[in-house]
Amino acid sequence: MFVTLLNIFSYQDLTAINSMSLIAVLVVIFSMMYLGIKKITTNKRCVDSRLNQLELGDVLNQFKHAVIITDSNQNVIKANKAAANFLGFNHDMASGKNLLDLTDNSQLCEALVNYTQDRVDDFVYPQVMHEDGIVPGFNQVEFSVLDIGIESCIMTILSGSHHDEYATKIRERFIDRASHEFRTPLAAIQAYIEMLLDGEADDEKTRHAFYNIIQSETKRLTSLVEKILKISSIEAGEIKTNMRVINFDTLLDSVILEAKDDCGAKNIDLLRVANISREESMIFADKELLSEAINNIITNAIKFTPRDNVVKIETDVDVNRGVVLLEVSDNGVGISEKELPYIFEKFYRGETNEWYAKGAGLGLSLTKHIIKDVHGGTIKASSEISMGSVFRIELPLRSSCVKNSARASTHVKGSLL
Amino acid sequence: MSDKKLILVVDDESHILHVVCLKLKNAGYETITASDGEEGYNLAMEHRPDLIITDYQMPFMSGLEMCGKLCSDLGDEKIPAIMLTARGFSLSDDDIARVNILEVMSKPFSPREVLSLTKNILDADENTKEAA
Repeated sequence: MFVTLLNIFSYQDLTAINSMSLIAVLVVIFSMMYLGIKKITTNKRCVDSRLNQLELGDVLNQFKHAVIITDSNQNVIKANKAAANFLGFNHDMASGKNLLDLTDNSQLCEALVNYTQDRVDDFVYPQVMHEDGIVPGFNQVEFSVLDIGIESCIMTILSGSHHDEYATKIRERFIDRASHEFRTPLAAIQAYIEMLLDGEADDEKTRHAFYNIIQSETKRLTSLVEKILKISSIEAGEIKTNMRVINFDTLLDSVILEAKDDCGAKNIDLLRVANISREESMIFADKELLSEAINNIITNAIKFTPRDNVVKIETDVDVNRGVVLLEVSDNGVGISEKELPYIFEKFYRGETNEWYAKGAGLGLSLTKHIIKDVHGGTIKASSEISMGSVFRIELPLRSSCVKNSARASTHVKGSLL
Repeated sequence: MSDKKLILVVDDESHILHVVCLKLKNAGYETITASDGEEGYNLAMEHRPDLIITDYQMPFMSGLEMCGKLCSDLGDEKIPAIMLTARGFSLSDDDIARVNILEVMSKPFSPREVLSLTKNILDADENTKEAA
């Protein structure tokens, strides 16, 4: 059975699978591999060398459900990020700790203890929702035994319908935000035109100021529409790209030069740290789109950083992995742990520091699409409130682009010259 | 004339603040402005305006929260409010009535209509006072 299942699903497939039963089966398989059961599997063919490179933790983290594997004393052997977020413990520090010490969710702990001792499985998880209603909660729990010979482990899977509520909330918020972003400039345009028609501007100077406002709000609306269309066309795989071999360093320099205009008012210093030589950083890219993506990251860092501070822009090359790295770090207002998973969503704006700078909440979404879908790269963010944020971008080097361009072309139709 | 009616306009978009104030000033009203809910609350407590025209979505405190706080802090001395909103969803009638918001207009809006609503509300208010 193992052989069949492992051959059927690729890593990408695994990340997409949501079915509870499949999760259970797959988690058991990977758990057994992780716990060393593979050593007693006589048929060596079943251990695909690619799967050996997969860490159980990485696999578990792909699931939306919360998964916790504990020993007979409720010590955590493995827990995924969804479990850590939901139960409120630090994911990286959980292994080896007792679940009862990690969370104050006494109902779950009690049920787990009962199940471990008596294998009683009649626990009905109460409706639980986080205060702000946007963190996905779970209302179903399923325990199962992983008998690995030495000791029985218990796997707890939390799942539930809250994902639907959560999806609805995200959708409502999307419509709300989108509506706000479109209506606001439209409101100004309509109001000022009506004022002009009604003769409320009584001198040429005021009329001229009105024309300027109408023009700038029209530009704001146009830019919004363009961003949305760009995101949509990337999502639909229909964006026209102009991919060429370019020097990443040169591109970055010109983006920084442009971004410097935004630094003046707040006296922010852009510190460029280049750990690579210019020749090393050749990539296959659409210059205009990539500049826009990187400009978004740098101007965001400037926007959310207080006066007289430094934004650090560091580049490096990882030849082994065939990537060029860009890290933009600031010591600005930061993003809360709760908000961090959503920052790349369309129209999402973190609420904690929303007041700090204006924006439609589309920049990061577009940036991620450009990096990931157009260029086959990755973008990740880490942040802490009041401490600042770090955005890390990886783009395939030209040499590895030949391999990756085939992959990119499956996502993006257009002129891959 | 010192008995000009005072209107507090609250919006985080400076262009909207400007256009609403100009329309009201041209019609003979006096205006004060705030660019977020918190500032709006403080100004309302200090100046006790005759009417508040406020946006919904603003930093620090939404228009709804601001009106709610004013209602609970001012007790019987209720200040009527008009809300201009760019939200995608309509607010519930209960929410609105509870905090003394008499009218809700969605953005884009017509300054003409804002003025006419303002007149209606303030004239009705005046008539009630005279009758009393």
